[in-house]
Amino acid sequence: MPAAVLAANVGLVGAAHFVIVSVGSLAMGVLGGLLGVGGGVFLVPWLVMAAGVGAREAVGVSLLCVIATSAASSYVAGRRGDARLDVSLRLEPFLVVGALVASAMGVRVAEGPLLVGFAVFILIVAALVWVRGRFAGVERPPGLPVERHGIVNALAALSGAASGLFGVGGGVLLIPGLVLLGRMPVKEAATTSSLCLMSSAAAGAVVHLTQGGLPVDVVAIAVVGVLPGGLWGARLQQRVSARTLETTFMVLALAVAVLTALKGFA
Amino acid sequence: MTTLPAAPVAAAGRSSSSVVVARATTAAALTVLMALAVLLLALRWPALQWPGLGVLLGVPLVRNAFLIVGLRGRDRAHAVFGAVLLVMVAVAAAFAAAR
Repeated sequence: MPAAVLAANVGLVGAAHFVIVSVGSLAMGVLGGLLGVGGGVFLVPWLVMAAGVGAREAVGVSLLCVIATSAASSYVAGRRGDARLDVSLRLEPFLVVGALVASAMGVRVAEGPLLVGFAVFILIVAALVWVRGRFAGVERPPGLPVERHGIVNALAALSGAASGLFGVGGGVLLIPGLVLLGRMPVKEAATTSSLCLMSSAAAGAVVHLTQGGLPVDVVAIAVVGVLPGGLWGARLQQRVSARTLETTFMVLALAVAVLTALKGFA
Repeated sequence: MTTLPAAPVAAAGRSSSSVVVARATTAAALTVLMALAVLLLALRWPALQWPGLGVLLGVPLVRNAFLIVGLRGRDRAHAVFGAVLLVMVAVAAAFAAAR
């Protein structure tokens, strides 16, 4: 299908915005995959600030992108066989309920406070990435039971809520939680997280679709960009040092948080 | 007394559970590709928007359906519960939208 035909059918945006959404989604996917935080953390601010999409719609678009990226990453994890299905299936209901409640609230929140909340959330994610870097050496053998079930379940509900409210995958909270509280190995936590996040994203997206509305044309273009971008970024991650990734993320997170907060206050 | 040969999956060094997970996640990834194709076609034919979104939202259900068929015991019960929860969310959201 020629790009001109696609651009002509993009209701919300014209040809220029078509390029902004498609190239931006690809770039945000690469960035999210490279830094290990998923595409949503950068995709939502990009859609709001560069593509002119409303904050609530951007959250919905991002949630649909999370379904696609989670399916792709869980496909890789499933073939490798290093994901914990038992843990994933037990956490999923908590994630879904958290996403459901938060997205039902999110579609009623005004755009300004939502963006300011998103800015605060990015700063929390930056702090968690820093903490995760410090505790990278604490490892247990894979396959052991998860410790502190109650707290881990509560954290799953919180991750689902973050996903439903801000359109992120939720892995940014769930992975450090599984590692630090549940004492899971980092790799096992990451692959398990990718298995269960698609359910919470779907629950949040259903609410956004039925309550808030979603620009389907933007969804199609964004998913096409984020999906290969995320996979490419995850592959690039192997070639860059953890220290460089951490520093890059801190700088980007601070910049995005400031810009998003300014947009929210405006 | 004859001994049954080991299952092919066990002989290949993978548990039956991990084979089920591999099948389920492959089905989910293929469903995503199908949804993407429909969503891209929806840019040209807007009537396809809802089917495209429906397929994309149905990805976790497709995965859970494969898990329910392949798993046994407590994991299967969890997969059934997860699928029922997602269907309930979709129905409740649809009712809320209709009101």
